Amino acid sequence: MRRISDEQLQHAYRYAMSLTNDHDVAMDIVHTAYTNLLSRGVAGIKNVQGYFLRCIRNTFIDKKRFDERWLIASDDVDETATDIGLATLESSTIDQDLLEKVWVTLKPLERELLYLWAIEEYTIDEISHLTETSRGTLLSRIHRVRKKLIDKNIDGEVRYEKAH
Amino acid sequence: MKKPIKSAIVDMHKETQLSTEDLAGLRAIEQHYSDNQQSTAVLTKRTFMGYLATAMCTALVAVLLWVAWMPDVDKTEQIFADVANNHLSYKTLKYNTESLVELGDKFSYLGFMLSKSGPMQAIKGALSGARPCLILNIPAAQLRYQTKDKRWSTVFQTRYEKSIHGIVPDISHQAPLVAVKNGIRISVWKEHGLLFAMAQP
Repeated sequence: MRRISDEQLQHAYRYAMSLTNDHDVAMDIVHTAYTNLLSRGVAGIKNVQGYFLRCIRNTFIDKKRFDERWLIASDDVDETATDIGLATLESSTIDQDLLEKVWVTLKPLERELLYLWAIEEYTIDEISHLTETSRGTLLSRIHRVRKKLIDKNIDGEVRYEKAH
Repeated sequence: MKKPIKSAIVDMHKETQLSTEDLAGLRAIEQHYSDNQQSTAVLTKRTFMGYLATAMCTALVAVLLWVAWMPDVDKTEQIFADVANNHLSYKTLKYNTESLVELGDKFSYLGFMLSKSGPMQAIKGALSGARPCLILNIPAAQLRYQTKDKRWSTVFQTRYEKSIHGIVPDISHQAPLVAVKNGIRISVWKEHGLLFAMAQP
């Protein structure tokens, strides 16, 4: 009997991709997380999908523990931005090609936020729980992500930055 | 053409998926763990039985030690109690003499000869006499020493019986058992086949 479905593996891979933006690194993370999950066993885990995603994230953090570049330096809570939630992203539009160009310029935690919101359809509270990040920090992050997406969308140009 | 950000992200990730080869690789890992878990389950069962056996043996040893040791603790406590009571009662001496040899002759009917032992040197007083008494209901000799400050120390001697007195330190290579009972400092040891108890204020 299979413990994890193909679809769950695909979700895990996409999540890893959202964090790393690199197929090889993402596969490495999925491999490690999946191995850990199999070692532990899934019996007794109510939300296997959520648990698997958490494993992916922890593995990613472990790999990046000694590389602080992945952290967003300006991730402190911006009090002026706390009234901006995911709803502001819901109402925004973007050109598909532009998104793909902007996507690679986002920081890992910013891509993670967008992935969990758009693909996994998590609420802000669910993202906060999964990533163990305060709501205020997430709202600040949304503010920055929105600014990057919308501003570049309006400007019609993308400045390529080193993602990590 | 612009579209909602959420839709754009979803569309972008449609292309992001594990290839058939990648999936097969992950399934191979799963199979490996499945095979290992079956053997681990047997090993775990054996390990559990090992722990169970160890725990049972430990419990058994603990009970045996308790059975063997606890009565000795009770016996020693009773020795301390009898010594303290006899010392404090200060009953009239049956034999008034300063000669231990003479007292030894008097008490020979108890089936042992009075003897000197190292810890008795701690007594700062002169032997004033002796009287018979009971320690654990066994006849014993009670030697009284009068100290210069008008107080007294007492030494008890009786035949040592392990079954009666329990395990008592052998003064030849062990320190005596020491306790304070009713304000009296009491030492208990064995030497030359005799049980010694010394009570000092």
